[in-house]
This record gives sequence, structure tokens and C-alpha cells, in this order.
Amino acid sequence: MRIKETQPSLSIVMKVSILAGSIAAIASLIVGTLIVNGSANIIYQEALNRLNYETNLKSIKLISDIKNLSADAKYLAGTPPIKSIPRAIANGGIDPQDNSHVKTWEKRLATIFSELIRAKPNYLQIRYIGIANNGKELIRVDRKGNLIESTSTKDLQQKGDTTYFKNAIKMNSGEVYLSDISLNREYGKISQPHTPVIRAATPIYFREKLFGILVINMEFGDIFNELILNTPRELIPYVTNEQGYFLAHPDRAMTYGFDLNNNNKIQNIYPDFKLNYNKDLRDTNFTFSSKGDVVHIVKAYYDPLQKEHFFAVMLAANKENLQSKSDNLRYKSFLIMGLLVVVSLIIAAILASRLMRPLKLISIASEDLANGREVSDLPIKSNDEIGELARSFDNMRHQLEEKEHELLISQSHVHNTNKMASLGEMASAMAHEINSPIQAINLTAQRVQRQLKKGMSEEDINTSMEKIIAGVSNISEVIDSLRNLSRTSNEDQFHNTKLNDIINDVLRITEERFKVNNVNFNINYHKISENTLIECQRLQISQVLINLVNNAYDAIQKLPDKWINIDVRKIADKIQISVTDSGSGISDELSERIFEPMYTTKDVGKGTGLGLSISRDIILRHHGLFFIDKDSKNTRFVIELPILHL
Amino acid sequence: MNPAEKRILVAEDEDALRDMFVTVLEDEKYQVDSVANGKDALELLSKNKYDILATDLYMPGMNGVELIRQCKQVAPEVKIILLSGGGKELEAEHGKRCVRFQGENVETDIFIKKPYSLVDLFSFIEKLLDN
Repeated sequence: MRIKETQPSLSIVMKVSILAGSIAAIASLIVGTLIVNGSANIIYQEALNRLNYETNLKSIKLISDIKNLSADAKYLAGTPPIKSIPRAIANGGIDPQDNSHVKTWEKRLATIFSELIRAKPNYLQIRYIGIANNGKELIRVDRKGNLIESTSTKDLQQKGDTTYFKNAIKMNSGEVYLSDISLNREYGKISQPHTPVIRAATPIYFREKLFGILVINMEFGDIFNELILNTPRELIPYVTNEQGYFLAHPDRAMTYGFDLNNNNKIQNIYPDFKLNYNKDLRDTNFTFSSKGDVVHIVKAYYDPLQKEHFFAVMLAANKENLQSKSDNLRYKSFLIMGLLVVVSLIIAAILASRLMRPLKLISIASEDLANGREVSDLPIKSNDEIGELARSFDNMRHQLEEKEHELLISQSHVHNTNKMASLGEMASAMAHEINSPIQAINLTAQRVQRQLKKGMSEEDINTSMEKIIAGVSNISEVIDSLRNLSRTSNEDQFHNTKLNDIINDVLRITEERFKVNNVNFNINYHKISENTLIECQRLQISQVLINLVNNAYDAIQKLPDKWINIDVRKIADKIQISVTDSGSGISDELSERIFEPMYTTKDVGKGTGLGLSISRDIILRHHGLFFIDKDSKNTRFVIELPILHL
Repeated sequence: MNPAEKRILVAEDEDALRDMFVTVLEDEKYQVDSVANGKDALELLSKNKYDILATDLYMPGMNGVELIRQCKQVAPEVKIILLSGGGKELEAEHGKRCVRFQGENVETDIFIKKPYSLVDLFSFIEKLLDN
């Protein structure tokens, strides 16, 4: 029966592994995605927050700088010289309080101005301007490069037409007027590098009458530069005035459009910004998106008296840039997750196939076994269930092979025995053996009848009678052996018998004849004791050997060299007894036929009774072997019997 | 018919039986050669001219039927006598020409069943030789 060979499909192990791997992969994908998205959002938020923070920081700085400016103006306005000078002037040039000349007080004020300028690097100029003479400067201290100069009287100018003057004199005492920002000019020309300047002016009253103003000029350039420089690289800083003109821009050329008469405004970059810009004054801190950028704006209202003035401090971040970090993170994470998924699936598959391999081996081995192919032991040494399965399989296989072997042997036994088979064949063999001597007797007797008519010599008659008698005895031997045969079969017990006893049985029957006829008869025990026991049917084995010996004797009758040897050996778990005669062997063809029941080479009158086929039957019943040794140059019949009858 | 001019070849493996058969024939003055197997018989058949081949059925090597077949090829003029005690492979009737051996038909000149009477034997032989 041939087991249908199937292709090993995806096994359970493989399925389970792939399923488990897939679930793990999907789970980690989901979790990973959530985390990545969350992180990306956080990063983006972070970037925005930073934008917010930085912008606020900068605007605070700006406002505080201007507050300080205003504070300084007020502070200066309260210093003694400020009041002493108008008092002195009103008193004809001498201060009635301490009798010092107005010029002394002027000098003192100039010193104060100088020290303040020295202390504040951004202060360009501090002036005390009187309203007399169309706003003639009373004292002026300038910063000129590294020097601080007090202007001599002859160079003092009239400033009554300036905006700041006109506005400042409208203020109340203690109020500070902050001018627009404009570019610094020297002698009417815009000085290079462009320096934005703001003026803080506060009115000075003497005896409730406006006397003059105090003005501090502060330059902004540094602050704005600092602002630009301190901005993190991925953010673009702008500072504009309330109209949108740039006060600070990464590209200097874009700045101060209000004074340079160009139109560089923030609205050029973000056109839709216009709307927000002019509307809600209360929006001091907000973010808007425009043209792919995210911009955070802080409106720094620096002038408490003029609420329409503010700086707009902005930080723009390219949305892509902002997002790119988080996108980058996303990409990387997904890439890694994807890789991990693939790797884990591969590992799952490898592990699965590793596990599958032993099962596959077992499956292949079973198929081979079922289809009669050669199977070797399974190379599975593991201690787990699969290893156990493999070992059970091997066990089963070995047992199967043993059983097969036994079956083959007993089958051949049956086969051989079947050759001897039926009673009919047996009877036929017997009939044939008897028929020959009968035929001889018949012929002889008839001949005597015929010859007596013609006249027969006494000798001739005697010879004929002898032949007849011999024939009769031949027949009775056959009958005897028949009787023996009926007795043998399975009724006799197997007993432990000494080899010696069997051999002696044979000798007792055959020895005499051999001695008389000059046959050299030898018994040889080769490395085995004659007292060795063998479990067998003693009578039957003796009969077989007698039969062989007698056959041998008949065969060598006409030979010059007459000898018969019985050799006894031990071969593995069997005893080998062979009968060799000096004859030259039996041809292959003959050696097959002589075991046949119908076939016999026996002479009439010399029959020994037992056919070789019957002998073979006896040996088979002993589970032994009975054959002719074809390698012997003589005629050698071999019997091999197991020592123990199982 | 002069027996002395007639040659008979006897093929019989049982020695004693063969000797007796030869003796019996020689008593009647026939010239007799004898062999113990088919191979020797064919050898002689190719060398000498025989009138009759008398063969047993069961012999070592070649059986009688096979010998008969080959004899017909080698020496077709020889008359064939088949002798046998019987056996389950043979369907034959004493005195008939045709027998059936191992399922196949064999034609002889005469089949003689053992044991037979000498009277029968000699009369069969004479009949064959007279033709």
C-alpha cells in the first residue's frame, strides 16, 4: 500500500508564528504611530512655544530699554542744575541760593550729562534746551565715537522747529515725550551706518512757567542688532514700527524704509498681514500663518502717552522647518518600526521553520517507511516533545523492521514447507519410491518365467531371486520410513541433546557398512565440544544425517578415493553439521531438483527411504538451514540448526 | 524381422532397472545400448542409427518428454517408446500413442505403463519394427 505523498503546506507552527508575529507587529505599529504622532505634535508645540517665548523676551527688552530712557529723562530733570540754571538766569546769572555763576551750574550739568552718557553706551546726546531764542540749546553733550564732548556755546543750535520740541513743550511736568524713531543725522545728512534714534524729551518748568526741555537721544541700532543676532537660526526676526516699516531685519538694507523713502514693509512679505495689523490694538501677543510661515507677534507698546506707538516684534518660522523636525521624527520612527516589523516577521518565520524542520524530518521518514524506502535514524536530539516523538518513531521503525524480518523468515519457511506441501505430493513421492523396486521385481520375475521355458542356469535363477528379494526389502524400507514420518511431524518434543549423541546415532547405523567397504569415515568437531547441547528432535536430526551419509556412500561407490567427513562447527547462534563426500559435487541444476519430492537418484534395491525433501522439512521445522555448499569442490551438504528452539 | 539387426536405445536412470530392461531385451536378441540420462541419449542418437528409443519419463536433467522432442529433430526416423509408472503430471493410457505431460500434448509411437507384462512389451516392439 502506497501512502499518497503530499506537499508539506504551511504548518501549524508556521501559521501560529506568523500570526503571533503579525499581532506583535500590528500592536507595535499602532502604539508606535500614536507615540510618534504625539511626539511630533509635542515637538511642533515646543517650536511654537519657543517662538512665543523668544518674541516676548525681545519685546520686553525693548520696552524696558525705553522705560529706562524715560526714567533717565525724568531723573535728569530732577537734578539740581536743571532748576538752578533757570534760577540763576532769572537772577541775572547768579544763583541766589549758593551764589554760583550760571556757568558753573552749566558745567555741573554738562558733567552729569557726560557721566550718564558714559554710563549708557546707547545714549548719543543729552541736551538741555530752553524755550528762549526759539529753543536754543543751553547745554549739549554728545558722544562722538569714543569721546564725550560738551558743545561749546557758539555751536549750540536752535531746535524750536523740531517736532520733538514742539511736542515736548505740550507735556506736563514729569511726562516724557517719546519721539518717532528716525535715522540719526549729522549736519543734515543721514549718518552711516544707519542708526535709528529715539528721543525722550521732558518739559522743565520753573516757577510754574515752562523753561525748557530735557532731551536724551538714544540709539536703537544695537538693540535691534542684538535682537537679530540672538535669534535662533531657524527663526527669522523682524521688528517693525506701527506702520510696518522694518526697524530690524536680517537684511539691513530692508530697514528704516520710513526714513529712507523706500517701501520696505512687513506687508510686502506677508500681504495678508495688513488686516490684522491695523485693527485690534489689544492683540498684543498672537500667532498667524501666512505664506508657509508661522509668525508670532508681540506688540510692544512702549509709549504710555501715545498708545498708537508700538514696536511689532516678530519671529517667523517656516512651517516646514517647524514641522520638519517632527516630520523627520515621524519618518525615522516609521522607518524603524517598519524595519522592526519586517525583521520580527523574518525572525518569526526562521524560528517557525526551525521548529518545523524536525517535524518535517519525521513526516518524510514516515512516508519513506510506508513506501518501503530506506530510513535511517532521525537526527533529532532535543529533549522536548518533538525529540520524544522522533525517538518514538525510531523505536517503532526498528520494531517494524524486526517484525518484517521475522515475517520474511517465517514466510520463507512456509514457502519452503509448502514445497513439501500436500499429502498428495507426499503420497506421490512415496508411490514413486515404491514403484521402482516393484517394477524391477516385476521385470525380473517375468524374465525368469520366460527364460525358464528356454532353460535357465541355476546361477541365473539365483541372481534373479536375489534381485527380487532386494527389491522387496527396498520397498519395506520405504514403508518403514513412511511410518517414521507419520510419527515425526509435530508430535515429537524438542529436547536438549548432546551433539555426541546425535553423531553416535548416525555411526551406529552406518559405521559397519563403511568399514567393510573401505570408506574413510571421519567425524570432526571444530572448536566446539561434542558435549554441546542443542535443542532439537533427536530422532529426526539423526535420520536426516543418516540419509545424507547414505546418499554420500551411494554416490562414491565407484570412486577410487572414498571418504566421507562429518564436520561440526558453531556459527553465531547456530550449530553447523556438514556431510562431505569425495565426490566431485552436484551440478547447480541438479542441486535444485534433488530437493523436489518427485525427484530421486536412489537405486532400486538400495533405497534409504527418506527423501531429501522430507529432510528439508525437518530442518525447516527446526528453523534451520539445509543447503548444498556450491563452493566446495566436493559434494557437501550443510545443515545449520539454532542452538535454542524458539 | 530379424531382431539382431535392430538397435534399441534404452534411457533409464535407475541402474538396476536399466540393467534388467537391457537383459530382457537382449534375451530376445535385440542389440541394445543404454544410457542413464537424456543428454547421453542424444549423443548416441547423433552418432548411431537406432530403430527404437525406449525412454523412461523421470530422469535427471532432461526428462523423457524433452528427450522425445529433441530426438524427433535429431533422428526423426527413430520409433519412440515412452515408459512410465505415472504421476500426476502425466495423462496417458497404456498402449496409446498420445500422452499429455505438464498440460501439453506429446506424440509417441507407443506409451507403456509400468508395471507391464513382457508379452505386451515384446508385441509392441515387434509391431513398431514391422512397420
